[in-house]
Amino acid sequence: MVSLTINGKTQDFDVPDDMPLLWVIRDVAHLTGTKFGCGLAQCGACTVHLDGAPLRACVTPVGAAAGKAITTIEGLSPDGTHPVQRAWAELDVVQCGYCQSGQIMSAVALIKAKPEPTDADIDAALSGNICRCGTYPRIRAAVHRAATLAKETTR
Amino acid sequence: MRHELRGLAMLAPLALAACGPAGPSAEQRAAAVDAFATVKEVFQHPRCQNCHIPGDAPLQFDAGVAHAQAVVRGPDGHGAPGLPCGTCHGESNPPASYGPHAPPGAPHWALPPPSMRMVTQGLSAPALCAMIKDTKENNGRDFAALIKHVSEDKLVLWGWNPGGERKPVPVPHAQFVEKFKVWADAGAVSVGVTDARRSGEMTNFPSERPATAEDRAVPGHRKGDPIPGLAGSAVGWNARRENRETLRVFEPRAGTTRKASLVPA
Ligand code: FES
Ligand code: FES
Repeated sequence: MVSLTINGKTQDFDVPDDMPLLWVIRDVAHLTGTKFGCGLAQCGACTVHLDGAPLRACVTPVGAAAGKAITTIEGLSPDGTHPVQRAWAELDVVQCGYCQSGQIMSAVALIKAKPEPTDADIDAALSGNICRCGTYPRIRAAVHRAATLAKETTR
Repeated sequence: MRHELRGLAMLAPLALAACGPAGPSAEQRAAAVDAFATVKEVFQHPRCQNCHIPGDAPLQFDAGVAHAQAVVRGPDGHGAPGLPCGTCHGESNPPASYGPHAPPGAPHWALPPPSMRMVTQGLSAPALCAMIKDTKENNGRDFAALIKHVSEDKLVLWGWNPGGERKPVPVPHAQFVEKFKVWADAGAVSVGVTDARRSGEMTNFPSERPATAEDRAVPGHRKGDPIPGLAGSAVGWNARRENRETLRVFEPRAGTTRKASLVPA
């Protein structure tokens, strides 16, 4: 039994300690916004936040997340209005969409750590998120836009 | 010109003598130099050296290739803002059921910070020895702190339990710590160029330079040409390519024993 706090809700899950966190999020908690791409920390599709820091859920045993705050794409905002989500919609970043939950979670982590990221910062922070559709130029533009929106929101 | 050469001829043996402190006995010194070879082997094993690099891109695998995802050292050694090392490297190695290719883990997975890189990659024994002892380069650690670091730091210890199919550091950890102490207890003798030459590690003289440009990438290779002096003597300065460490070389007469000493770059 593992107790997890996902998107602010604490719940007990009857799963073995070494089950990957991603399995629990998708198959047990049924939060399928977070995607499975590779299972090897190679693609970034499974990115969630653990106590605010980005994490590849596919290579994290669920036991390591017990007692910590997990945020998935569903938990960014109740209505899709997080600045990064708004920027993504505004610039129509998404192609097939498979990688985008991970891209967005990494972008949120970046803007939190660096509120005014440069192109180089964006490249460095999102270099672990692969997009098979090649939406990289739009992702980069959207991160800049999201940084601006985030500043306006906090003002 | 001749005067200058004479001056250098006097200087070279003096500088050489300065390499060995007065403290330890000859046997102690030999044991310490010998022990340092083990220290070097560990510090320059891929498990340790892959992150103790001069640049900003860490290495991975036994072959020390550039780390996937173009990850970087970042402002504090913990990766780029938004992509910290901990995104993929957890507090411990993943369970064996995750297969041999899942990223390994240990507490505070990181590179040294950019302000204190603690580079070990490609250093000769003398240069490595000097780096480890220099508190300006080793994060202000005295010997007690250094020994604590190599004996207890969880990220250091990971090198002996790297998980997956990664090669662990081959020297048993206890033996490594013991050798480190032997070297430290002998006053952390400076390992000199002659010691390194004796062990065949360094190629100091132009005549021993690798023939082709590609071969010159070998660690320890130095580049330089001697200035001919009186009666076939020669003096030269060899600078090591990767770290600009400078070596003064004096040859009293053609064919006689050459003397070399390290000077600060
Ligand atoms: S599924 Fe986790 S990084 Fe690819
Ligand atoms: S939008 Fe298709 S993989 Fe990125």
